[in-house]
Amino acid sequence: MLQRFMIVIALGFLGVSPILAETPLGLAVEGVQKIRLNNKVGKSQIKFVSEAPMENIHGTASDIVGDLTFDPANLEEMTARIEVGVASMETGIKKRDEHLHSKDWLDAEQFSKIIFEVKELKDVSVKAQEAKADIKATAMGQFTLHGIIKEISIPVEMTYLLASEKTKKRASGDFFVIKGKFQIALKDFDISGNRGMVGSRVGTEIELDANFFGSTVSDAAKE
Amino acid sequence: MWKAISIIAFVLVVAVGAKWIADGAQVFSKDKQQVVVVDEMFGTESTEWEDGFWLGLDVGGPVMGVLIGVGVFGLYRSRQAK
Repeated sequence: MLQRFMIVIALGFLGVSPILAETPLGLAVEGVQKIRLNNKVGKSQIKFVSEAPMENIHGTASDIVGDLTFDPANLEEMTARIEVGVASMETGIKKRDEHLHSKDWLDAEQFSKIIFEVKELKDVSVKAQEAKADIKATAMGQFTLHGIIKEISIPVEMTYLLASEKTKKRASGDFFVIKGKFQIALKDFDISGNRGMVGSRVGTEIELDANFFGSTVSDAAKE
Repeated sequence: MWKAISIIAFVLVVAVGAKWIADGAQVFSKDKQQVVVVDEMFGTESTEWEDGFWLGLDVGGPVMGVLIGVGVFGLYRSRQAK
């Protein structure tokens, strides 16, 4: 009887523990932190690749703004909203860029932003050193493209860097970097383009490689 | 004269072909090229765009086609003249 009771308790604990997981940053940082993307820290950019039989397209999007909020005592509760301007997407050919922004494809006029909204982090692990913490996690949230919202989970690697003489040369505050790679299927976002193009000249799936750079916002700037 | 035109046309075909290969042997011509910049602090790579012109098969193909046509026609006319 007691043995069965212990097993039930143990299983219950194992089931609940991931929900209660609270991973600390492991650095001397206190209180809820607000990070704002800042190109002085580093160039926030999304690189995208489309692989299709007729051609491979490599492009970038660089008009990126966003804020992140997290509690250093509980990284799982990190939230973020990052917006990417569709009009900033480039592929190396002006005419192709115009097509990409047009109504047939991403419709930059009507859907001017691609939005990542992070609701929480899962599977968080941290390696903290003296002034730096490397975080690995899965960012759970929503991805909005072409006016369509999809739930998404993205494996991310993040770095928190405490302010130092070296970082001050670029910008004030602690630095925060997020790196993530993932794929999206165009049909999931109702992007069909010109007839016959998807699958021949444009890949059915697009690979995205994102690098976001930010710094902590002072209390005065948060207002 | 037709022989000279033919030789010039074939030399230009080789030149256009060499330019196409040197520009990356792409299907479509580009007016911007990616330049990778490495961030020393974080080891990340970002892309800058460099303006210019890189020949693709969309432009190079028809140009080479016309030049080959001119070259062949030149050879034909030079043989006829003989």
